[in-house]
Amino acid sequence: MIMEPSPAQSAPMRQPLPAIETPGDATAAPAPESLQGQPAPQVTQLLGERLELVEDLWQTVLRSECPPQQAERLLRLKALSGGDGPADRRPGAPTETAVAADAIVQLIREMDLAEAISAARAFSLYFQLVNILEQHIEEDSYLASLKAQHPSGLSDPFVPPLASQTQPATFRELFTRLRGLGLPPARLEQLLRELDIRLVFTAHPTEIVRHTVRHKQRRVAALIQKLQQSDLLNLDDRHSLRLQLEEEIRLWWRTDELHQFKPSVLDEVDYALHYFQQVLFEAMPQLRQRIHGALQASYPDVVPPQDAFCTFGSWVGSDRDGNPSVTPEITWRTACYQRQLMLERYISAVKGLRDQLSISMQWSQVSAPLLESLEMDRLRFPEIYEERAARYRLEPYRLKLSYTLERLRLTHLRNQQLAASSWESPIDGSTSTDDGILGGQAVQDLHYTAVAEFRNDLELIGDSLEATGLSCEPLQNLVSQVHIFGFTLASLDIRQESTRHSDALDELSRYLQLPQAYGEMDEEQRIDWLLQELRTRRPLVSAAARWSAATAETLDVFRLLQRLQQEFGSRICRTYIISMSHTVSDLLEVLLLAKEAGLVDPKTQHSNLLVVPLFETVEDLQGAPAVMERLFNEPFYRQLLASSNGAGKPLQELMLGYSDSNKDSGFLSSNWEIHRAQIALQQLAINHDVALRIFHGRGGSVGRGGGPAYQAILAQPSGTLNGRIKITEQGEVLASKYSLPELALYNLETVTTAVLQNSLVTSHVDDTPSWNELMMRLAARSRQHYRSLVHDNPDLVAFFQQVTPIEEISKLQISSRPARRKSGAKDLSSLRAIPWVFGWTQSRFLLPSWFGVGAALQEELDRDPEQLELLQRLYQRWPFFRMLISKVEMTLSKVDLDLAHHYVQALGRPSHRESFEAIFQVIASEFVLTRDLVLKISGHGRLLDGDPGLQLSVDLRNRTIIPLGFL
Amino acid sequence: MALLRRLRDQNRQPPMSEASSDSGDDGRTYSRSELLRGALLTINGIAAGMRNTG
Repeated sequence: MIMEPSPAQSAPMRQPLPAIETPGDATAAPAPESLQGQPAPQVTQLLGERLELVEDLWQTVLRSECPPQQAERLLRLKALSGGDGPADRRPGAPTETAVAADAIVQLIREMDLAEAISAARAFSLYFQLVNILEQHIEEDSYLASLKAQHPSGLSDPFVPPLASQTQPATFRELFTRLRGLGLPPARLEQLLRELDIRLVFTAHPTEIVRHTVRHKQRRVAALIQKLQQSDLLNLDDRHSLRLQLEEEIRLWWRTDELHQFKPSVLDEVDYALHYFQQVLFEAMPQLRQRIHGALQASYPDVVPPQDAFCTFGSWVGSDRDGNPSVTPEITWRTACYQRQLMLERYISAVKGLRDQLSISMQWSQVSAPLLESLEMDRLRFPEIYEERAARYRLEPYRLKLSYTLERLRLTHLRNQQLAASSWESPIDGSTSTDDGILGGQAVQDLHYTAVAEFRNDLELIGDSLEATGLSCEPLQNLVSQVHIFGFTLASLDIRQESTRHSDALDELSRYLQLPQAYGEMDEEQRIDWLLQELRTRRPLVSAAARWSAATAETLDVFRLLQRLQQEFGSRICRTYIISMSHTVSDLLEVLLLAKEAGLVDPKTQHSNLLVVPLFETVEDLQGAPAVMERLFNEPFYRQLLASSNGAGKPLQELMLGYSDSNKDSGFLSSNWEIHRAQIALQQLAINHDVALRIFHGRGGSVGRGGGPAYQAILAQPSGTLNGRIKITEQGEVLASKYSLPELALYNLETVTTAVLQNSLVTSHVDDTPSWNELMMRLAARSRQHYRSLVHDNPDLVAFFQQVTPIEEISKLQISSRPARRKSGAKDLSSLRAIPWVFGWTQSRFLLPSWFGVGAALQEELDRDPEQLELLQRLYQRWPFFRMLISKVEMTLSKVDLDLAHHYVQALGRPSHRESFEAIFQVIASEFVLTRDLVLKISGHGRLLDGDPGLQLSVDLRNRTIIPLGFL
Repeated sequence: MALLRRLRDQNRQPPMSEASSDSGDDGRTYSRSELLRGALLTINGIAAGMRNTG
């Protein structure tokens, strides 16, 4: 039997952080019931009550929009889809649902195609209404927790000192608990100073709801919210709201859900930016206020974090990996569009401030710096002065804001000109205007060339107000927005696959007639040559040469980057991610190409580009520390790192990919290798005195690293965050996280508190040797089982292609990016991870999220049955292991093997019947094994017993979705 | 899955025009595009229902 060591035995291998240790880490496990999540009776009650409203609306609309007999059949179909949840059934066992399934199939057979389509649309509408409902419930629960007088746990000193693993903490709760634990204010202040959370929006293609439909959803959501908060309304008003709601849903019903055309990249940009316009611009200043308020309550002397502690990035319009539609021109237009949105926002806000700040010098003093700046403005911008002075000469704030407004307008105008011109056609510094107060004059340098100039103008006003005893919340909010979004809105990360750079350099070397072509060099030769070229300013790329289209595009991207930085500053586009990174040369190649474009200067050893390797297969994750160590030991590379982080430590950003490693090796192996890589890379960074920012390419479904963000962040190895995290927010979850203001704040606060908690409360459990050895064995066994089915079984590809709607999914016009990589092969290697996971989800196997876990656990128990007790202990005490088991439990609860078997029987060709049945039996056996062991380890009688709110939601969906499966 | 099966059955037929038809259980005939539309709408609905509730 493997014994769990005491903390003293498990000597930490990493540098201890100046943080506190939770007494609940390895010695005193938190009370299990608190870790299993809140009973959440309020959630289940709210869901039950509000579901009545949704059901009623849905039925009303169907009755009014469908012929009577059809409406009745649809309602009958819905009524039949009741019974128990599928995941706890054994395949083949007669149950209420299984019996109802026969009736459902019979009813569907009676439908013609038009009616079947109506049924599909009706159930889709139902689920979208339920989704809206659940978003509101999440918002309401969050608001209730904000209003709580006493954060939970305060009154009882014996409850776990920190928030549970499943229930996110608010700022107020976290700071109260940290104070209770005796965290020194200086330590908290230090971390808050370094706090750096970056959320990167992607356009990944499983967001299949049309923009038009999203608009309708938002309107319906707003009306439902009004109706639910209408205690003070009279009956007539309630009735009126209800009628509006029905009308909106009718309009929705008559709208086509499917895209009429394949979205362009710019459509996707517009889609992603919508969340900023609708929600995030306004939400971010509120997030700032909430963290300030919570600090004031628990740590009044601690300086709050800078406003930009949480910022945004985007891959939409800049991620070109596998997407030929993302051209340099598209990235250029994306940058201009983002800037346009910000400038329009700021122009509107400054207009509002000018109206509001009518303070007269006759009745109030004004700070000397503001008066001095007005004098400078008068000299610099005499045209504006002439136009505005008479009106505002005694109203200094309005006068200052008039200058600001006009400069913003000119910046906007210049941006329009940039957007209209190509990225390759630079315009000069002058801006012609034929409107506004400068009527037709060509003006030099009147626009803002950097966001800092605009921010300084605003801060001058704020300082003057404060110095004279006034404050202005809209101004504070605007300053906060400027800090967070700048003029760029979100930083654009460039991503490209590593082979594109190797191919370009090979072509370049052949053009230059080097003694040995780059493609023929081995890794050591490549490194030597790349470093040699990086140390000289001698250019390699001749303007006269004619390159292949691929190489020309690769070179253009770097020229575009240089142009973007020159025009908009480095904030717009500073990170270059290399997907499928394997070796040292993968990074040096990008640096060399960047040097050719003027982004790296060999003489000063300065880089304007952060080169970020993306390690995304198990082999690459295992090899990542060796690759980075070689680079950290290379003086030239190290100097570039140092130059890229100002006065701070040399900063290395690294990206870890969950999707491809999961597709490659299965859930358990992927997660374990990422966990290990993080620890090894952090240790390496400490040894080399380098600051590390780990970029987690996660999100969406569990098979791609998704799941509750709070739990996932807490499960990161202790000591690896240090207040810094970068995470993808996948396209398909943007609506569920950022479509409503309080929902967005809930998600932002949750991520922030999780990062703070993980960084401040260290634990040694990740270092426990015996636990790590156990996990290594489990990961290896799990990988072997997963690969034996997915990669070694010759019939699996045909199984996947036939029993899932993968081919039809590729016809859904949901993304500008093709579902397969460019090789064109029809095997799994060319298939992207996103449709891989999506296909298995549709036919209810959800295989990528759990397959191989049960077999690995069972083999370990066969070796030593007493290890069950250890596994149960790990579940209680090790956040990483608990996160793994919880995610498996959640996905198992959504598996429906009965329905999946129907897919096999209905869609498998007769020639494959035997082999497909064999594969199904393998999957079914592994499912039962995994489910039973997960229940034993978690101590739950039924899947998701630890989270009743989620259990109720999944049960509802599992039941109601059955007709859609059969349709 | 019923719509997927009918769509695939029809796709396996020799190449035919858009107007080529499927004769379903109801004895009526449908074009490929109609069947594809139906199948895609079910995929759409399942995606909404299987939303990451965690």
